Amino acid sequence: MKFILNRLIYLLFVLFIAISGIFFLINKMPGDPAYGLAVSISQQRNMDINKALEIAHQMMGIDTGEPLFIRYVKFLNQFIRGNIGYSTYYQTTVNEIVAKSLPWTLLVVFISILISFIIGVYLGAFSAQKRGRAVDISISFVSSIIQAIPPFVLAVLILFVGAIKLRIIPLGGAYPVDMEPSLSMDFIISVIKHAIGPIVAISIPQIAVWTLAMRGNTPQIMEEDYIRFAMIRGVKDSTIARKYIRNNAILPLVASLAIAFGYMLGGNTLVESIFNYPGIGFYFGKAIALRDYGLLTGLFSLIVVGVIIATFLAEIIYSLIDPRVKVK
Amino acid sequence: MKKTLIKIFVLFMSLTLIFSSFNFSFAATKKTSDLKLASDWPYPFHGNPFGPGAVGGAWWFVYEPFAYYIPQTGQYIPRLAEKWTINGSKLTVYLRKNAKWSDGRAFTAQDVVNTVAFIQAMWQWPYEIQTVRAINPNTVEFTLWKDAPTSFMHTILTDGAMGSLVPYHVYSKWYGQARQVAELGKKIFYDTQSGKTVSDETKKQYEKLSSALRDQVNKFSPYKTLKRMPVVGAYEPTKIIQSEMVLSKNKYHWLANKNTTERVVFRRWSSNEFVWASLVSGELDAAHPNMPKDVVEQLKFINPNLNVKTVSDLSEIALIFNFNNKLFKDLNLRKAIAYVIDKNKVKDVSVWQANPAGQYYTGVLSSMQSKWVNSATLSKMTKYTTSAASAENILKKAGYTKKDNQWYTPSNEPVEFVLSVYGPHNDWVLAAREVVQQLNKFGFKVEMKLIPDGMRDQVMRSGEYECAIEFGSAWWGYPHPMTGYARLYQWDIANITAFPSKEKFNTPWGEYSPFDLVEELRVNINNSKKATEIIQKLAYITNEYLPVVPLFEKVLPIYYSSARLTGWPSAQDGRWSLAPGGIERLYNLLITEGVLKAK
Repeated sequence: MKFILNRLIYLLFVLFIAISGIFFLINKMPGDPAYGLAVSISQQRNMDINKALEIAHQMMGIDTGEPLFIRYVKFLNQFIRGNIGYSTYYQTTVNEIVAKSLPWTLLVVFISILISFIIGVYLGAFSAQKRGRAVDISISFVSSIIQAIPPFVLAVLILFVGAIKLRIIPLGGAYPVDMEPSLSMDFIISVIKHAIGPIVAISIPQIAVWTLAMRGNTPQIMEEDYIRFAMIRGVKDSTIARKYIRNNAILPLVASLAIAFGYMLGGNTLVESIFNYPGIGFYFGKAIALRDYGLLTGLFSLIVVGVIIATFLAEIIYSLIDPRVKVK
Repeated sequence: MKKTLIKIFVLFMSLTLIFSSFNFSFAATKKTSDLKLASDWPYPFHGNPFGPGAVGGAWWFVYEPFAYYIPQTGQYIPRLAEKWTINGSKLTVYLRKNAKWSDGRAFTAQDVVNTVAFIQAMWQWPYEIQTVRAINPNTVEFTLWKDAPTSFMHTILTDGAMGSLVPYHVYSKWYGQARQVAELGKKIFYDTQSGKTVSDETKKQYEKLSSALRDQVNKFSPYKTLKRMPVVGAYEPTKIIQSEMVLSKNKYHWLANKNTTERVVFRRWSSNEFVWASLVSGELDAAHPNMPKDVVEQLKFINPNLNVKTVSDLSEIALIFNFNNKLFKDLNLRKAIAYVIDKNKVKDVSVWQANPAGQYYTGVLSSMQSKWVNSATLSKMTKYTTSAASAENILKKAGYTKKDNQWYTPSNEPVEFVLSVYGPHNDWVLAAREVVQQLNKFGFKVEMKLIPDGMRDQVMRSGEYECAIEFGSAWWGYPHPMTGYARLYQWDIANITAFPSKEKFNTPWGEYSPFDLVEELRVNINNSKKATEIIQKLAYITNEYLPVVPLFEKVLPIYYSSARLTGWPSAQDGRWSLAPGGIERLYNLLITEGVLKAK
């Protein structure tokens, strides 16, 4: 209990520092957030850009005169109450945007991580078990290449092959606009198949990452005395691989898994854009392009919170599954 | 073994379940009388025209201007207006008697008066309209402010916001406030423009009233409150999700009987790759992404139903100079640069579909030059055919020297400078790279510098560049040479380049300042003979004194599919020129008039 309490206090401190850092970093970014809108006003109305900028500031409710520190205090005040920001472009709370888009991202990220972790761990353990043989060399070689392929490149490939050439996945979106969201089987199936593209694009490089990580951890475990003892006892190879090697080699990956989950919340902007998937990545892109500081701060804060909570959970889980952590 | 078999069976069944439903779902999204396009819109959707993003790409489908203007033919196509008359500073618009809102209410002059009051209050524009009044339910009279350019009549007639943005029966509770803010805003504007001092008290009162109105109106979401968004246009947004938006036909629209397209379905323009894929697969009927030549060839190979039409985007991409830099104050150097650059090569590398810049840099877009600049004027001008020899002659005559393939100024300083270009604009970067290569090859020392995302405004406005790639002449808003010249000599380009546009320059007709000529052109815009004369002088000054060096004229490539639709206009049809600045206007015109329809 004391362990958890200590971690909580530490994490709150980290959260405060990270959130403050994000706020100042984003709000000190150069460029006028109203410029994009001003250009559009200026072009449409054949108007001088300075006048258009004035109008754009008013339309977006940007008070250029408000001191940064006052804005920071207001932001913290709202953040503590659970309001992670206000989007000047969308003129709504970031909470509302997150509520509409985060579930889609979570769906894709959660399934991708689950699939990639399970397959990666299996492949990594298998490869380590066959160390030095052709199959091990092949798995390591292919994984090293695949992990270097950015997910958005795979996304383009999957979109063109899967949705156009083979027509086995739908072309973008999370579900057809003519379908009403419900718990019906039709809707659920539609959601799953619309998510296949992004999931595959995100999962493939991740599988390679987990495979290599698992393969890297395993040899160390294989040198342990209890493995040799199990071999001497005549325990079957598959049992040794599953119960003795994999379960122990997987431990260091648990922490990485939690952190990866946090990062992936915001790390798939391009994949979502390529599949026109309505996740939070779309808003990241928009927030950056439109210089929507409120939205950007809110979304980055969300990721920080995600990473911190995931790290916290990883530590707790780690302490539960590895008694050595408790002892320390 | 048993467990493995069970796992394989479960996996097989899941995949079968998922894939077996594919055909069903594809069929559910297909509607033969849909027009499928790609665009963007604010989500969560509010339906409030005053929120940033407003209604996104649906704008021209939901709001109607009084008329459409076809730049190529100079023809006005009446929309909400049946006709109009211009008498001095008065514009009288006779509204269509059978125009109705999508909830069945009649569209009247009061809606126009309401709209103008709201946009003046919310956008501080257009103060050029001093008064607007309803003469009767179908007639509305606009009176322009004394200093407003006559060309503003064109804006009133063609701007989608001017007539039908704010239904009176939906926004009437704020009409009084809007009118008060608009009147006070106009008073402050007119006083400021005439050199009078506006008291702080008046300014404070304006701020107070205007922010109170803005707070209320900005929060209003017709889409949430009324569960619909009454529109006078041909389509009303009826279903919006993040990835798709559906507009359904307004059965009360005056052209509803001609229009056979029941819905306009937008897919989110989330990335060019997605739009390309959608075009290839036939999921979109039209879109206008910029694409490399090989991608276009592949697209047409995979989907032979795709056609492409390029129309001028009414703007040119140019090399601009910072006239605060001593180097570029020298006309000889600018002329040499104009001769050195192989514009066609730059165009091919950057935007292969673009229109070439031509050999005269008149400030009139090259595709429109023959219409506005006469041959007698052209014969007096320098012709900038790519020629390193001509550039060398000019420089040598001016005292420049060349040693070890490096040019030196008459004061023996190397001709070296940095060409800045906005990084996120890929086509501009490609153009800049080519220009840098060509100039370096000639013997200048030029480096390219990328302006980071979001910094273009700051860099250009602060003058922290030596020369740059930017929009040169652009005819946004009012497609007329006056708009381009105003940009070059009075507005954006004049501000960021510091070109001395108020100075007088020699022309065959005498000495003129381009700034004054633009003012004169503005006043005489409807006097065709006088306007043409002024344009000749401006064209000459622009060509001979080179405030910018145009590289190519930007075009809008429109990809359209004839797989499901019939009636796309021929390549020569002037209606295509309606696309720049609002491509949806073109689609709206074609489908509402029943020209474009499902096969």
